[in-house]
Amino acid sequence: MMPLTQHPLLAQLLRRVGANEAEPPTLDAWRDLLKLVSQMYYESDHDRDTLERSIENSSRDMQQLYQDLKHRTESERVEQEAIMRATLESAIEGIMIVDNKRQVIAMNKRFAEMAQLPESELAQRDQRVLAALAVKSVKTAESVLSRIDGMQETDGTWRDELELINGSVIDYFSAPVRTPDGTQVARVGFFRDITAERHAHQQLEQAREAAEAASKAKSLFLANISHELRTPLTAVIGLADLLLLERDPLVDRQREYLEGIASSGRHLLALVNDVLDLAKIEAGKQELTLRSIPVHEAIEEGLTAISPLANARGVSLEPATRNDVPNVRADRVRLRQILYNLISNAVKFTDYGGVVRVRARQDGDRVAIAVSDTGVGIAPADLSRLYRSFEQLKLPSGDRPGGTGLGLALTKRLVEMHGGTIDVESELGVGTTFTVRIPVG
Amino acid sequence: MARILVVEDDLWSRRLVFELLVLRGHDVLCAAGVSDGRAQLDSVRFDAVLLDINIPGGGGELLLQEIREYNTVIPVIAFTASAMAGDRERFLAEGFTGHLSKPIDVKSFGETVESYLLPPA
Repeated sequence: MMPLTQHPLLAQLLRRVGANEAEPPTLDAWRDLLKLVSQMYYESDHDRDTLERSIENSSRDMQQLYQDLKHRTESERVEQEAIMRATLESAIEGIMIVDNKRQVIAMNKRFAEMAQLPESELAQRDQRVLAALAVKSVKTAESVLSRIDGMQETDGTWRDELELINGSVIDYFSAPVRTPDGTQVARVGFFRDITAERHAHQQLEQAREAAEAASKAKSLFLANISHELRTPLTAVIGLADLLLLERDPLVDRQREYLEGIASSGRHLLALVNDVLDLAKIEAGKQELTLRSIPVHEAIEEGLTAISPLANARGVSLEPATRNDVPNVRADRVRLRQILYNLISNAVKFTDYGGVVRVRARQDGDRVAIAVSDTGVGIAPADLSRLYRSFEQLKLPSGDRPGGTGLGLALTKRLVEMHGGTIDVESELGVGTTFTVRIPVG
Repeated sequence: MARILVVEDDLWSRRLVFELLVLRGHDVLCAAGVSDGRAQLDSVRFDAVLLDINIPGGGGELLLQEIREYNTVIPVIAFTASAMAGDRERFLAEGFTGHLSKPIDVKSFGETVESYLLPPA
């Protein structure tokens, strides 16, 4: 830029009217200057020529100065606009800035795409039309408009989800634009297309719902089929037992076969019962009747039920429960089932001459019931499989012990339904202890 | 000796119960469904009814209601494969005298049924 001082007289005059040399003079300064010049023109007859030349020169300088300033402001404006444009266009979001009169001040291409603004309108650049078109692309245009109007008056930010007519879902964030003195002059809106996210989320949700429904249907089916299976099993077991009761003598082989039919029938029945129980739990149809139950009674019932098996296997049962153990809050039938499963497992995996101990003690707000055996123990690698359905551990001989392979899976579920926990400690060749903790009640 | 009606739709369960009760010296008649059982009850005087719940013709509960309309004392025992918690209480509340769940214990079945019989007048 050409400094004003290039023309000494002009510079001097400008200083006299109080203008800054580095900046273009204000309108008032120009006025003062002109006044000053015409005054000087009439007062200084003696060197009119000089002055006229001087003014002629200065007006050329002034023009030059004006051009320079104009150019500089223009290039700054262009530069700033380029920065703003680049910023707008490099954003991932669609951006639209609207002034208080609902006129679009600026928008980026991403926004034009989202709002599906037609090329013809974009070319026309009628910002009022564009703003109206943008609003129209939203399904609930009316409510959006009223909210936008409401927001113009408030100064807060606003976040919302807009559903467009074309089905897109837009995450919309709106913030006020203020001048340094705090006046809100416009609002800038950021628009992010979350249709894909939303769609993926919905699909996931639908898949989850379908999976849950399928699982429930499966459980219901199992519960029904288990029930149906019990009827013919009744006849199988009962008729075999009936034949074994016959007075007519059977040959040993016939008796053996009948015993095979009856015992397989009972095994199948136990399996059906366990499947039914598990299915009921998974279908959410298993209900507990919670009562306050003396622990030693439940343990005694479990031990009594298992004593024929223990006697047959030469395993002794040792209850060791102190009288001061509080009652537990449990379903009597299910608690008996839990203890029966644990004690019968202990007996099955313990050799002749071994011992199965059942102890109960208070542990905070729970009663810990521990079933310990002096059996074969569980390999660390097998511990994680313990509670899975049909993952029955084998005896060291390679045989599978009796039972359904569902006992522990079922036991765990039942314990958890009581708000309890089940833990296991085991050492190969030494023995295993299962501990269930049931809330005091 | 008592005259007992067994209403059970499963052929071999019916036969099993029949044999067990006959072995104990009872006079046993059988029916496979509600209408069959109703016909037997109309023509014969029974001392007890063993009634399956899940039977064709309206279910055991319907037949029980009909029996209770004219006879409130005859022992009617629910005989069912369902072993849901609360079943027993529900059956007793509905007017059954007792509940026997399948599968049955062959050795004790007869005695259990007899325990529901009314003492001879």
